[in-house]
Amino acid sequence: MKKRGKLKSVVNAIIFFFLLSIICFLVVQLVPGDPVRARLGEAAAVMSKDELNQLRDSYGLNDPIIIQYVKWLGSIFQGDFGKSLISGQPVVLEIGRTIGTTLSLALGAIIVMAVVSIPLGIVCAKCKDGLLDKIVNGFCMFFTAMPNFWLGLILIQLFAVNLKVLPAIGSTSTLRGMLLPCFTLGVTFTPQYIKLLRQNIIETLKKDFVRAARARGISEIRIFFFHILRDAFTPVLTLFGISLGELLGGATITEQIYTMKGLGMLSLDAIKHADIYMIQAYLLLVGICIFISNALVDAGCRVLNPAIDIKGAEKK
Amino acid sequence: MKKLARKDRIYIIVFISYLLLLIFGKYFTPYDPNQADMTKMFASFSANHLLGTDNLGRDVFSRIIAGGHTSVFTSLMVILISLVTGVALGLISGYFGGAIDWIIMRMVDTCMVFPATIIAIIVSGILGGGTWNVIISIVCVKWFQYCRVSRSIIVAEKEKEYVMSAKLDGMKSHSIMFKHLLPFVTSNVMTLAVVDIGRVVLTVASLSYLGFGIQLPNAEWGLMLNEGKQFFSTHPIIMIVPGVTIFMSVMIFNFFGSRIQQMVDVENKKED
Amino acid sequence: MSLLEIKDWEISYKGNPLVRGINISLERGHCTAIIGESGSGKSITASAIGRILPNGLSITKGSILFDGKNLADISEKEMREIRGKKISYIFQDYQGAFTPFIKVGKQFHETINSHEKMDKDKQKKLILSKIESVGLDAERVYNSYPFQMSGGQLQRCAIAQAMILEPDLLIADEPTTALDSVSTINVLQLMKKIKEESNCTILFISHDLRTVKKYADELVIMYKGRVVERGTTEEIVAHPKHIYTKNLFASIPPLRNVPERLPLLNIPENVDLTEV
Repeated sequence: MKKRGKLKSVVNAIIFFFLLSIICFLVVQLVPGDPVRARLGEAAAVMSKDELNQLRDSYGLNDPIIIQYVKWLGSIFQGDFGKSLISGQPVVLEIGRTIGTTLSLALGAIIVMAVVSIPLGIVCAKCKDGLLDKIVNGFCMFFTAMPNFWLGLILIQLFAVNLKVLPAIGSTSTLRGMLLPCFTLGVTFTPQYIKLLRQNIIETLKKDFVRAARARGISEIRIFFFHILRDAFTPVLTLFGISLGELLGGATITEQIYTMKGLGMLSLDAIKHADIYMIQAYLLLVGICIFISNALVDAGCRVLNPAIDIKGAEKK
Repeated sequence: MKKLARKDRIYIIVFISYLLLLIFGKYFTPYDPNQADMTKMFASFSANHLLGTDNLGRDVFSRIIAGGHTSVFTSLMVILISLVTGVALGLISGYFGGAIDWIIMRMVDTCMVFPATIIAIIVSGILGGGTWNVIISIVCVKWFQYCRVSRSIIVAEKEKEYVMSAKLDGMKSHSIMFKHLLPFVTSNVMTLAVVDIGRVVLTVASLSYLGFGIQLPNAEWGLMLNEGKQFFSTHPIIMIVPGVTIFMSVMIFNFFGSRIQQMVDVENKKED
Repeated sequence: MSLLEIKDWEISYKGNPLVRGINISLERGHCTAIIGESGSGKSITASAIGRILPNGLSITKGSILFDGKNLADISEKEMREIRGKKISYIFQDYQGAFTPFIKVGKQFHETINSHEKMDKDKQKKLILSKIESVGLDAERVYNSYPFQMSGGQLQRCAIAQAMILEPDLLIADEPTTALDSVSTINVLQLMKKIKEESNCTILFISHDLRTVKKYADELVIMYKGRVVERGTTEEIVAHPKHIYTKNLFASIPPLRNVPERLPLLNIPENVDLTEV
């Protein structure tokens, strides 16, 4: 039975990958303008129509779309994602250089999110409607309305220019360099997590099994961490899966503010200059990242609540 | 609606007033927001120029108001179009079920995989800037949220008795959908939409800040931030004013939006 | 000396008394039943004994002596040691007796570990034998999740859990209300067996007088937050004194000479609620 489940997952993954690749391929076809002209720039004005057409032929741009797609797919599997139309470098190289920065940024932001939201969520649930709860609620409203690019700029002005304690340009090599960018990126997500965690803990506290555990004489701390928190965490983990995509999107803006050479900056430049191969590769990468993170979140939910699998199977 | 408590009426009035102010204020600005005057660059606050002037000598106050118009107009358009598309497709998908449902839901699932911000950036990057292109790109990532919600409402609702009896009476599908189900779904989804206004305003501002959204010489808060960025160290006011405006407006929209949502929830519970 | 003595209890919610003038005395090894309709305050009284009242409720008057100890005086830590070991509970909602995402066996271990240091293998043996003793397939139940068992099985498992450390008092808060009649009989007979074998005292909360009077030694009748009558089952069945008790007995449908209409409870609004 488990084998069938795993086979299904693999099949799903393959279908997903194909759909993803088709979308990535098509999206770029919609970019207006002629990629050849874009590549050649001014030199294109001098060339005749025939010469341009010959060039197009050589790039395979006059082939029927299906052939182009198959060729593209083939080259992808060989690791050839084409060359960037801006820098001339292979796309894989450019991405390889920048992905580390973005991943570190994202990881740092996740740490900020966890460190801020989890304790605050728990505290708010415990002192429901108390003073602390109201203060944190205000804090949530504040950061939900805050445009993260503005926050970044204000922080730079404050800490880098006025107080001169932190660098204005983010860098993933030093802790000080990561502080501001990760905080800026992470803090805008915290309100939803605080609210969700608070709500879930409050609801779980009402459930019968909590009372039963108390009646068995189990310590409050144990009940809280092993029973309540575990129950409340599953929806939080699910939200996290959805947030990961937004985190990547937010990283784009954050990298721009802090002048960090990450994937986000790369994609912004690519979009501005219609660098189709870069855009394609970027989309593909994003899709794969989302897929992997969804799989990880699913696995995490299973660990928290091992009953999910069995429940699903038993219902059938 | 008229039976609301005084406090609730105040919420609705303030919310709608602020919206109206931003939409129509543009026609009453003291100066032409696009009028540059190089002799008056970076003027500070004065009776003439309430919020000073920017790097091209344009009156900041007028630009803020005009920017508000752009932001609010764009956001309302986005929400309106997403609502209409999303609810319509959700209605069809939920009511008819079967193959149509499957196709529409697959589309929704596929769209949901991609992060909204990135898609919005890419679509507006491909289409170019400009108000309507921004609207289209954000609609692309918003419609399926409303679609999903309205579909789940419809799926639950269509099993209820009044729908069954309408069918038995021989009422045609589109009549049932329009007369019975649509009003029900709309009122539920509207509360979501109201709360979304703030979020969409932020998205529009983000896109404009990155250069993909509203283009010069139009005024828009995010765009103003983008312009003011270079002068941050010398004249930080240029950046602080639009930022504070965005922040305040989104706070107002979110706060009143959530209050209105709570009111509607209470009303619904009372009816139950 | 009786195991549990409650004198003049008052339990209030934010200053409003919900339950008043409660006097209950539980004899060792006996099964005492608290009978009352919904809202009579019986569950609140039961929860208050183990100090697991919901938020906002507190004991505002009276005393409680358990085995000579005043339970109102002791610290929360000491109370926690008593819960599960000396005083155990089973509840109406059997699904809520166990945490849904942890295996049943593990939860048994958790209960034991919270009170005693016992070798893990010894624990497992004890747990398996306890589960067997309530008439369930021990290995299967040990490795299952709560939702994999039926209502009757879960409730019996909850009893096994409650009895694992041989408590002196088992408080059963409407354990059979949500069960079908076959499971109800099983559970009641199981409890009878427990009482006889281990001399455990049972406090049985119920609204179903008819079933309970066969198993209970003493009855406590509650109405509108007060105890209106108490005594041995025989006494009360033979000579109910309070008007509410009389009505309760009268409303039990007889198997022979079935009347045209079942009698309604006929109790005046301002009935005297002091104990007879």
